[in-house]
Amino acid sequence: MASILKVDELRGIASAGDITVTSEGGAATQSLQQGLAKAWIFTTDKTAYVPTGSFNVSSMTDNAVGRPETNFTNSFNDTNIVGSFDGGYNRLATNYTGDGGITTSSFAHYLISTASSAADVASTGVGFGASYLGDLA
Amino acid sequence: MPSVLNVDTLTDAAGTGPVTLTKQEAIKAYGMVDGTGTINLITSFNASGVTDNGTGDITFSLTNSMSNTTYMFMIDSHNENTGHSARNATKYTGGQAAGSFRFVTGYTNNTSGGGTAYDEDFNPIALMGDLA
Repeated sequence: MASILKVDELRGIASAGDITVTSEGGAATQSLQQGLAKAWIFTTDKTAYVPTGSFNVSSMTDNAVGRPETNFTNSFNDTNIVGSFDGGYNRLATNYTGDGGITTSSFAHYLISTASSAADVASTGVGFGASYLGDLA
Repeated sequence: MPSVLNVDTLTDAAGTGPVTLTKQEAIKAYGMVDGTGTINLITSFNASGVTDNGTGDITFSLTNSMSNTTYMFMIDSHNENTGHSARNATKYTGGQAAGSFRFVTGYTNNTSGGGTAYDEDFNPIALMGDLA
């Protein structure tokens, strides 16, 4: 019979932030925490980037046309943040070294149109989305 | 009252398999690769290293292998040296193995030199699926 453990919070014993889980095939064990997305944002607001849905995101800053910046509620441990971004239809989303670049508490983005210039999400685009991986402070 | 469970390892009831994370799944490996100069794995999880196979051609190797070669991958490429230049990353033909993932970075089709492999300095990668 399947067992279900109902609990609100999990902590490691040796280290509160480190819990090991077994792989699907049973061949390995590895960290649960490191495999979790630490923040994500999706917004259909194509100009001001007010979050439609988010996790561990306190707010978005609209620095200029095509330059949204994600502000984290809980900061990362360092600036080695692995990010995945989507600017939607006819937009390439990338990181940006301007507007503060990547810090432990924020991540600056740049959206580029097919004309290779800064542009907000296209009117026919769904929105802007991003997820962030790494270690929290 | 909120309950807190202190535990080091979680397994299924048999002690040999994974626990179910209801309606969610963890990422099994990720990395940030700087492909310029001497290739560098800046940060990673469940990665044993990266290999420079040639211009823009990178192999990301795993510590714990995936259980098959049909896992989901997210790859991207940017050139941070130019401030905000988006590049392209694509899976190398036949490059999806259980223990590694090979991909190629380079210019997007709407930039000068479109479709050309090039070493880029900001290449995030993440893999999802079942581990062996």
